[in-house]
Amino acid sequence: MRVAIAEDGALFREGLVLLLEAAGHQVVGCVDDGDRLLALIATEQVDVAILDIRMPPEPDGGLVTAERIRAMRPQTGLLLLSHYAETHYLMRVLEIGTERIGYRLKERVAGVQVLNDTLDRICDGEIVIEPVLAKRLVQTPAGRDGGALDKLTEREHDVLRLMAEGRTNNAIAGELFISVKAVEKNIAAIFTKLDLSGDPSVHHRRVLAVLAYLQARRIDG
Amino acid sequence: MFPLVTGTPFDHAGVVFGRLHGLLLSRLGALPTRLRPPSPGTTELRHRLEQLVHDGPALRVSALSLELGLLAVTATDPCVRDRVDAAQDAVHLVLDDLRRVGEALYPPVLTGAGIEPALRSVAERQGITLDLDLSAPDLEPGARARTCLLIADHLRTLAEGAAVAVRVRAGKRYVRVGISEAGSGRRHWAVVRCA
Repeated sequence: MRVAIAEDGALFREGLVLLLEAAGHQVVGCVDDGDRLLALIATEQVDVAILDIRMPPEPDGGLVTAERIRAMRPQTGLLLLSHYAETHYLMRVLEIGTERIGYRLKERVAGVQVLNDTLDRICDGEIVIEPVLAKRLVQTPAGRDGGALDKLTEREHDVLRLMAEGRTNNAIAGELFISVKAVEKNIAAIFTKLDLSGDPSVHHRRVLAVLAYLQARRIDG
Repeated sequence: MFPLVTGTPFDHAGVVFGRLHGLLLSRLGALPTRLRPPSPGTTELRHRLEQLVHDGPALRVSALSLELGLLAVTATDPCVRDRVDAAQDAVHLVLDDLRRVGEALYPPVLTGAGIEPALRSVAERQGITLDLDLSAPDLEPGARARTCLLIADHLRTLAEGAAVAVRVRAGKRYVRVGISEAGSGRRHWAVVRCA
């Protein structure tokens, strides 16, 4: 995979380059601000761009740059990293796009397996959300008081939380110790209860379910 | 028949005074208490400290986490790999602590996104239901930060599961804040002077 990095912390940037290379990826460029990353992506073929959210242009240059990259090269995957897991950042990420995009804590991609899994899922067109953030959203009082979401059973809530983390049906089954068929049944029930049965694309419905869930907690919270 | 009054007139006056005192105390308990915003100097210092934590220890420890991840790739001995994994877990705990320190010093999204996302973030982490009624257009950065820190600091004193209503109204010279806690019925108010 051809990867470009924009991160203003030299130590973290250099460590990330070494880890990406150890994981078998090609780092085509490594810069310290959003404008330089844009210039790089304009001339180089990049599969995924990794951006620090809090970098120049301040205060949240990573988000602004990600928006511009998405407009310029919609096929380039985007992985936004931050020291903080913030709902506000997540909403901004969702505004940029719900496909080929991810938002994770910096230290959580510090392993070859997790890093590869995150990059592969983004390249496959998925959205990857930091699990700790998805979990917190479900556990907040506002998250439990979400109109249509109130109709969901506890199991369906668990499944939706894992969907919000961008997990596949197999991964959800593994996490909850249930069969893949049971996961599919729960997802069908979630779609029905959230009134998403009419959409033909399963992936699109998954994203809509997650958005409905996030939207509900945004309104109520 | 008149009720039989026992004791001296002084005893009777004492009972009346005691009742009045109790009534006054209960009324005072229901009165809103005043909260004080942090000074401009303190606000600036807290912002600088949060940036120091973010750009210093947090970034260095995150880089250390990458170094450990790299070490795990090259380690072939299962015992060494286990120890590297344990060290990674410890590093994650340190970063969680640093995050909590940073968030308490100065809400990370305040500068880029403003008061509302910053307060919602604090409420979300505290497990508090926040009903925020905010009308503070064009508030200058200093007053905005002091208002946010005043409310955020109070939210952190509340128990998980609490419900609180916060009202913010900004004028040309002052920002007025009202806070009502459901359940306990406690109310607070504050005034933040604009620069």
